[in-house]
Amino acid sequence: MIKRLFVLLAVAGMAVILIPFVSGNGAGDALNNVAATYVEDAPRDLGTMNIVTAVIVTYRGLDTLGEVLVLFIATAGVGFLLKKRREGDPVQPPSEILSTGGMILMPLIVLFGIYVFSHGHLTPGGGFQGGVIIATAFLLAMLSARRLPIYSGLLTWIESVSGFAYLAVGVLGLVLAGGFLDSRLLPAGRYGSLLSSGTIPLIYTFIGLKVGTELVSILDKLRSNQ
Amino acid sequence: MSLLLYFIIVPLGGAFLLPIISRLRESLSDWVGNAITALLLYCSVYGVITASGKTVTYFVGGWRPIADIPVGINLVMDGLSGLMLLIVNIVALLVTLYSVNYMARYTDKGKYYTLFLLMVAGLNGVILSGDLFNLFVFLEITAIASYALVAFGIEDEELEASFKYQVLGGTASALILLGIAVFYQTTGTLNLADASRVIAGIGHTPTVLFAGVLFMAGFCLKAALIPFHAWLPDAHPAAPAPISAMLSGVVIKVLGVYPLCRLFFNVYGITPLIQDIFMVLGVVSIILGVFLALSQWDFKRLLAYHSISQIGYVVLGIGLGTPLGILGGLFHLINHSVFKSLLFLNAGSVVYATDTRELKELGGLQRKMPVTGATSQVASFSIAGLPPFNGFWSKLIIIVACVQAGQMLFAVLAVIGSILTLLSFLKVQRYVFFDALKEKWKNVREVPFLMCVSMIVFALLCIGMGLLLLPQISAVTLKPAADVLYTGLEYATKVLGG
Repeated sequence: MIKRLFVLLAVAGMAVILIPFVSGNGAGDALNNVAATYVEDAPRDLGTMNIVTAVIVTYRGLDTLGEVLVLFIATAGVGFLLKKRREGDPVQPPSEILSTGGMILMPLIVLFGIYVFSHGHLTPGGGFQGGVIIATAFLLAMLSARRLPIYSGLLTWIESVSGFAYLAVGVLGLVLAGGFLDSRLLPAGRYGSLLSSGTIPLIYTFIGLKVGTELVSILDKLRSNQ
Repeated sequence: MSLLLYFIIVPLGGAFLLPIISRLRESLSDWVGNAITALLLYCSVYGVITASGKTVTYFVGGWRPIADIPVGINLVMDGLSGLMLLIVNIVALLVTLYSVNYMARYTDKGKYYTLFLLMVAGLNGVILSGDLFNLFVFLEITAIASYALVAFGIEDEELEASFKYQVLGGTASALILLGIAVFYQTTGTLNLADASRVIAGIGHTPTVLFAGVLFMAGFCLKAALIPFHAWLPDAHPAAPAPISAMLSGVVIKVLGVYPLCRLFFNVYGITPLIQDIFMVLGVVSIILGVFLALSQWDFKRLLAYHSISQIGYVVLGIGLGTPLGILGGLFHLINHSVFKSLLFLNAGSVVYATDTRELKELGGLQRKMPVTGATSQVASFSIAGLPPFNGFWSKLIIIVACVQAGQMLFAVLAVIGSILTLLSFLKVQRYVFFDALKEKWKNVREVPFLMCVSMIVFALLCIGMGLLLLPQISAVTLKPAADVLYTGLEYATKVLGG
């Protein structure tokens, strides 16, 4: 009881501290300088329709490389943390509806995932989102066909090679264009077409493959641990 | 200068390729890991010499500021970054050398080196980044890699420690991220140099200070200053010894002390209030840390508590804000990296040979393990601050600086902390290396060659680092680093020019 009272007091105290900040600071209706520059320059310099993508992949590309790494580390961590196998409860076989439906849907979902990561510079979406969608297709497949074999060696290869290719594109930018991860390595192309915006679609393809394979291998580890 | 980029992409490239390489042949991962850390050390020595104390900026992707608006991310190497890079990469190389034999006991060396290189990439990134959010991303890379590495043994103790570390580390990251959000909303920029200009214009408004409070709490948690220390005594001992050495030796400094200094000296501009917070946290950590250490009987846990205490000296010295105090604090930072890493490697060697870290179970190992024993004596004298070892010089400078700044009470407490540290390490020496040799340790042998080499190099550094105070050497290492903090807000001009 006393403990809860303390918690309540602490929350109330935080509220008293925070209210002045909230009351004085709205979201504002003008973009700040940095954001305004992005909105004006990105379509012209990089040829991207989706400005968020331009910020993520090009202007702040080093952050994105870091985010890719965080997932890479998480996969590596899950990999050895789940090494200890334990026997789980026996699982029911999937029903006819699930296994048939899963087999029909899986290729469509993979296709949609590829669409999302390859059109990241044109429409909302990108490598991370596309990768996650691909992983859900494999999750569905795992549920609908219990014995679905996942070749972990192949996953490691795709994961490592696409990660290294991402880095290589970055280094090529350093050698041939303005600097590390500069997307102007390839021409900006026709505004709004699939093959435009320099190396952005290429980088998003590598990220999509990497994120997809990483999540699939995490799902596979979790499954084989059951 | 694109050299700055190599500190990040070289270990990354290695980490991406290692899963494939180690699949082909496990022993290749040793070579790759060591080659990459050696290359990084070469880059840092080369970088520090060519920069010779000047500030070098690299704009990633070639995105220079457009009309003074920083659209991209910049990497900055100044005196302070140079010093930190040197010490991180020295420790990393010696630790990978030690890992070759030590980690053979664990499975999956490929994963170990992958995570290790990612951790090093994150550390280098934090040191070099001139952008607040980018700094956070690299900080997360290091933190998440170290959560995984702490749990590398996957026994119950390791998993529990890693979980606690993750919860408190995650809390710290959340506080820092919230701070960044408030900071960005107020200043409209994430670039540290640009933000420094903005803050100089608007002053320390309540919102800016609120972000500062969040940073202070978050980074102090990462630095494990008392009262933010609860995770450290579990996480550092549970990790494999080379990782303990990295965590205590460099990680708490790069993720905790370095961003605190960078933010409050170079971006906010130091004020007496912030200095007082630094000094009080420092002294409390010195005294409580060493008292907590005195009652420990687990070798590595004792060392972990001493890390808290020694970080206190660093923060106390820097918090004084005088040129001498800052110099002493930074000098103690790099000295602590060396002797604490060595002590953890010594503890690792003892565990390697005997499989226990209980002080009461050990005894008389000096004769059986002469290299481990001798190097641990060097390290113990260094941490206790006996002349002529490196710890003596830096503590001396900090105490003199305290007296000069009129902080007599802090000076006295710092001396008391040092005496108690000596006591604590006399205990370690007696119980582990001297005393009578127990029957069950009759067949103990010295650890393999590469582990000895690594410890000997560390010990030589402990003896030789006092030379850093010589004017000629100090002029390219310590002096520029201390100047960066002492000249504070000039950082913005040095990085962005004009």
